[in-house]
Amino acid sequence: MITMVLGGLWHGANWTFVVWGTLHGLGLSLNHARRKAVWKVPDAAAWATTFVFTTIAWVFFRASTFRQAAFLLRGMAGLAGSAALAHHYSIGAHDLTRIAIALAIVLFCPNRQAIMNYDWRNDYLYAAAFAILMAAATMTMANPPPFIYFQF
Amino acid sequence: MKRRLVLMLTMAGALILCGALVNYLLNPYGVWRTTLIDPVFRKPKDEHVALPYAIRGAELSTLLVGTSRVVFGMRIDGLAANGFVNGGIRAASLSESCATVDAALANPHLKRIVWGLDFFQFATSWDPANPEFDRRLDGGAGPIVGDTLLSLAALDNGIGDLKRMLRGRARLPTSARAAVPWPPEVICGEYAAELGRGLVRTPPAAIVRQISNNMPNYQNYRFSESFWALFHATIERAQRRGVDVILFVPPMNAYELEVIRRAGDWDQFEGWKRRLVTIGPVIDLSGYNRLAYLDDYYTDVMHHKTPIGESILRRLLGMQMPACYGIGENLSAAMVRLDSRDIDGAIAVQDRMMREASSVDSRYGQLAEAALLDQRARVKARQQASVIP
Repeated sequence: MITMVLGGLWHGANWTFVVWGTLHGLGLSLNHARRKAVWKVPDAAAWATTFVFTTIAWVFFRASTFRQAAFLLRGMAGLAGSAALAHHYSIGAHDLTRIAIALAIVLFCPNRQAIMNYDWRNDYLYAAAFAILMAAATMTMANPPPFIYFQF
Repeated sequence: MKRRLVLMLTMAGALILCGALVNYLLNPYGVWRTTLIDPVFRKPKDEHVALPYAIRGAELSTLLVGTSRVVFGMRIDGLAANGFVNGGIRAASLSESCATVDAALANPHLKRIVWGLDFFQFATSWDPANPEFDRRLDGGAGPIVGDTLLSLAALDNGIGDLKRMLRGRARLPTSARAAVPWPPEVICGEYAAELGRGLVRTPPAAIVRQISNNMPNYQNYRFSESFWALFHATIERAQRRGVDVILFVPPMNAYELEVIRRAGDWDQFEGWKRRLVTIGPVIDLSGYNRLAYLDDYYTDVMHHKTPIGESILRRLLGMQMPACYGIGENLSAAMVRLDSRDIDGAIAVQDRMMREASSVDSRYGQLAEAALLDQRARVKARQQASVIP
């Protein structure tokens, strides 16, 4: 819990980051408690709970003030008047395709931890993977995206 | 472990060198002397990157300046051709346009500037800062290496140029193969190919979206005295340097004019024109003239079609406009030369045309009003939640 609260604060000097960290700490604590109690939850319910919980928690990460966070949460719950924005931010077939591809990657591809656990015996393969990443990083240095932790 | 580290660094270094070498050979922005790809096949995707290098080229004689109306309206795919450089920038701020002109003035080959002026560029709110662009204009090794050698964007651009070259010259658009200013027969061919496309075929709901999303927000327009001073000083520098400056206001569709009028900015719009003539004569194509209602002359609510802009350029340079499809006749009928001596008379005529237009309930007015309502709702929603991009 303390780690997550500090982790939240590390992302920016704002109470919204503290709330974001605290919520994640609470979520992790609850999950550990559930494991200790050997309480089995069906996969679908676990996924849905985790997704909804983290989506709500991330609102506090992105919002600059609690007022903005409240506005977005009301909108997510269908209580705010964001109808004027509907046609600017509506999801089309193209977006759905991208979401489906992203979902397939999440569900079926190995994650970072799994990749790091691979036995990289082949030096050439390892060096080639590094070289590709290094070259791509070097050749996009001219247009860096804004640094997310700019508040510090 | 040591062998792996050496391999990693060697392969990474080799790959980066290969990328830089390919960029050097393909030379998508014309910075280097390599001529593997004929400049006619160049098509830079981002004028913010390519333009600073194009205006330093020896072939610059005439600079076209302005916003997207110049970028698309007088389109030069490779930015430079036959001494003409299209220095237009999409959604350009006035400071970007002035910085472009200043950089071009340093080029001893520059003889003439054709400047397409937009009312919205003089608004206090229209000032997207672009320090990267300024750094490129200033020159220096850092931006050049980053933009042209160590750049995936340049690589992507260069590969696009290579593909166009492999497809051959015959597959290029006619205007890209023709000399600038484009000959009347090329303009007529282009116009024929575009006939019945663009704004004339756009459904009303899409027009409202275009106005609401793509048009600058004319509501709460405030004229910027500092932008005006910057513009005035830039023109003076150009004139002192002996460069011929031709100023013009591009055609505006009745949708945009209705937005300006209904947003309560008509007086400021006319005041802006009065200010412009204090600098020198201005060729004005805006206003409720016949061009405002010729929807077939526009790709969307903001932009006239390329053949129309090409015809305007011919006229500005004292050349004959194409006679096909009534282009020359329509442009001549709408074109007004504003100068300080007869500005009152010209404004009075434009005022009368505005009053006549506003006395009828047209689809231009209806859709403009709907878009303004949409814009107001969006601004209000954004104020409530400024986290929404």
